Amino acid sequence: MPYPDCDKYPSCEQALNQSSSDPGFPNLIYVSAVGTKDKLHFVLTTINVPSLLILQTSMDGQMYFNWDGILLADNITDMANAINVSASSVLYQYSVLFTRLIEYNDTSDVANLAIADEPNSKTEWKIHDFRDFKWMNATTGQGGNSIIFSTAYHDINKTDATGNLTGSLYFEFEMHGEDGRDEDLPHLIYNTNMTQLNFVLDKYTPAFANSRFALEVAVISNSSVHDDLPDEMSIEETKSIDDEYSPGVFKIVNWYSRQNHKDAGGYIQWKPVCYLDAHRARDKGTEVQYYGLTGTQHIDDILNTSVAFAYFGDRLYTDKNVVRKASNISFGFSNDGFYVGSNYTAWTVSIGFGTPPEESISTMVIAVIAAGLGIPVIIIVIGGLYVCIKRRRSQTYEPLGNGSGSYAPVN
Amino acid sequence: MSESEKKPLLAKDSEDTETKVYVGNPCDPRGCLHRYFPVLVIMCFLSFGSYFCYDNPAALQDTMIKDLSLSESQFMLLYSLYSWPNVILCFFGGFLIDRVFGVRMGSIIFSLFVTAGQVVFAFGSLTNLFWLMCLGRFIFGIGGESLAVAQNTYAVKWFKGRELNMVFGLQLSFSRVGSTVNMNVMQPLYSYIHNYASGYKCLGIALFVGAVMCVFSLLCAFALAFLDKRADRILKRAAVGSGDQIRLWDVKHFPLTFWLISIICVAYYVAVFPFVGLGLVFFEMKFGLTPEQANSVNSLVYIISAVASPVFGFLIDKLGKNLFWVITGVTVTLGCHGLMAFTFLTPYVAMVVMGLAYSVLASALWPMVALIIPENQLGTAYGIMQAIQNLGLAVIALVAGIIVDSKGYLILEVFFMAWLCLALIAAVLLYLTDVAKGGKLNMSAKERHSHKELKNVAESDE
Repeated sequence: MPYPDCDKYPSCEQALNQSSSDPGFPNLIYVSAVGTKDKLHFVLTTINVPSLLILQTSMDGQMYFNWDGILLADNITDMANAINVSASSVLYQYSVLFTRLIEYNDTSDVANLAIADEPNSKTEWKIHDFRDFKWMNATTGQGGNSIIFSTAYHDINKTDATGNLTGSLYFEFEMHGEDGRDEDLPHLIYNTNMTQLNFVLDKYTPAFANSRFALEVAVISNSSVHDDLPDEMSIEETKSIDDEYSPGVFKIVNWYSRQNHKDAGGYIQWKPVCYLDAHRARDKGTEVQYYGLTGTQHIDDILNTSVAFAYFGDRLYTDKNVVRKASNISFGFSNDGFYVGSNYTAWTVSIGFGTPPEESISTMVIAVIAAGLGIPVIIIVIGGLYVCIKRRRSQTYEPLGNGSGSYAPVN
Repeated sequence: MSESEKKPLLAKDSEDTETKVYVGNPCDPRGCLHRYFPVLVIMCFLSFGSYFCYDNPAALQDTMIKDLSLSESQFMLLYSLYSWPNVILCFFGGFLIDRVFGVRMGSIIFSLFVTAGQVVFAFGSLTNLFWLMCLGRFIFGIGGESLAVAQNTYAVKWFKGRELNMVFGLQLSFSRVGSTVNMNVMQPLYSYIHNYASGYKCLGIALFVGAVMCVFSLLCAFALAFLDKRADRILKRAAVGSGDQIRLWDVKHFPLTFWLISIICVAYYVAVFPFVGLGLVFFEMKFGLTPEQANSVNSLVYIISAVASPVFGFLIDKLGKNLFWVITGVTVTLGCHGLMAFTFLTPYVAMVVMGLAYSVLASALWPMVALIIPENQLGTAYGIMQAIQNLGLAVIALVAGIIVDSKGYLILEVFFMAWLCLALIAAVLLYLTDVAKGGKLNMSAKERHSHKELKNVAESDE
């Protein structure tokens, strides 16, 4: 993949020469995961809006980036099809975009977007379009497996006396070369077909006293393999009695991009919990809620400047096999003190391809249940049998039974 | 045949005792009315002040943290200064009741400690001296749990062989009433005083109102001591504490059955109260309740036990079979924890049933001690039981917090269920040991009555 020539692109040049306090860096990270039968391509970017493009192609798949189109586009026709793939077959194409950050003044402390948005509610809103955010040069996170896109948006970030940024909003994407489970709560399972995203709002200056935040997420799905079942998206919630990996969280949510072909589609997986402290703990957790899927008409202008448009072009709207849906993910729960209570919110989510990982009850839990409940039950059963047998025997020898003991003294 | 010999004799005896019931007027200790009013009423209010003030900090948590600019851990210290010393203190409190003070003097002294502690606590707040408040809580703690022991001892002295289960139930119910009244009264009271004073001064004045409750309880202690002494004189009862005096080392002669009861007590209580402490988030996250709903589910155990304990106590008085009810209580609670751990059934069901099971257990368990321990050692026995229970609650609350943070609620529930299984094993062992000794603990009320009659006959024959 050719790197863009910085002499040619002013925005690239600007970004390189600017100090980190006045940035605006067009980050684009490309990662490929080569399997035995197919190849997955991940494009992670902050160009216009933070977004991902994930493609599944045959092994010979190659991606091409037309930097003119991506970085210099004045209008959407220039942008269209600036990202290309050449492959003998493109099996699945999928994009996840974070379009807007929603802020609202939750004066009644119900922490519910649907209620806040009711026609007669007087909720104050501040909708932050992610196109207005400026991004710093991507940095590598701890362990070297992750890349951090951090924003520096002067209206919303405090600067101290020296002009240094004190607050931030960032997206940290982590890729793994093996299967495993995230070290941090909520300990989501990861594999090689996904990226794990940490969305963090750290010391972000809220607009209102009772501010709460929500993310608007859009998903675009396009499969080239079809059968009779239509490609529809769905958000499904699975309950479990087992919360051993994420104490206090009993649900897992999957947003399937292909409800009827889960193994050949994309997914966004999260547990409905976010954390109010960088040291994540059960008692620092609060709830994450999702809302129904909607169309994308209201944000089409955002999509039109995204990598999704750079890849799909007009097909985004004309191809009937392209499905576009959006939903909101809100953070917080009644009585958790609003955003200002902690000035920190972190949410972890997995975005990947194929059947999402499923939680199962660990052998440790089964062993604890077996030992904690099994042993006493065995003791009680054996003890009970012993007593029954003993009683039966003693009855055959002493017809008077136990009653004799109680009034023996009388005689 | 032994059976046919026994029956007519017994029937006659029980008829006789029923015709012997003498109501009398409230002032006459020979009548049963005197027992209910004034004695039982005063007895219930004896520890009202201490239960009211114990939860003062919880009722005023937000204002207290703000007015005194306390940290979360400083606030928690106000509770641990009460609970940890009481792991040992109430054992000695019970022993002192038996050996030194007697129940009358004991309850007055412990009431004095409670009152003094609350006064120091309130004064500490009034002067914004946190160390003084801590000292106040400590002094309060010296009195608080031992006062509960004295109250139990009084109950046995007046009601043994009569309505003891109901009285224990009623006392339990009053302890809940005390903390509920506190929870609902303190905040409005604080707001009212806020019109005249502000900050820690306002808080101090509010806490002094708590001290008034303690003074009221102290007056009850005096009244009860007077009535008890008078009854001793009129009824020629042998004063508790006379005769063979217990020595500290005598506890090793306490029967196995007593230790089994103590094990049941601690293993059961640690599976209920630390769970209630961690319940809020569990109900919100697993069952999707709102914070208000979660709060009301969480307080169900307390509310139900306040109402149901005297009723169950009354029924157990009529039916007997204490041990059967204990085993039922433990088993049903085990089922409730199972429901909450392994199903998504609304927790209202499990918590209501658990509240009932707890009431049955509490009103059947504590009176059993009076059946196996001589009266002059009862203070010590209840003191030990309370001490073991306090130790269990303090340790398990910490352990439960660690488990839930690292392994989640499923494992926590299994942990609680394992404790209940231990309680169940102890209860079954208790049953077996008891049967071998003549089945005193699990007699029906009728059997117990006739047993007592026969014993009296045997004694008068001697």
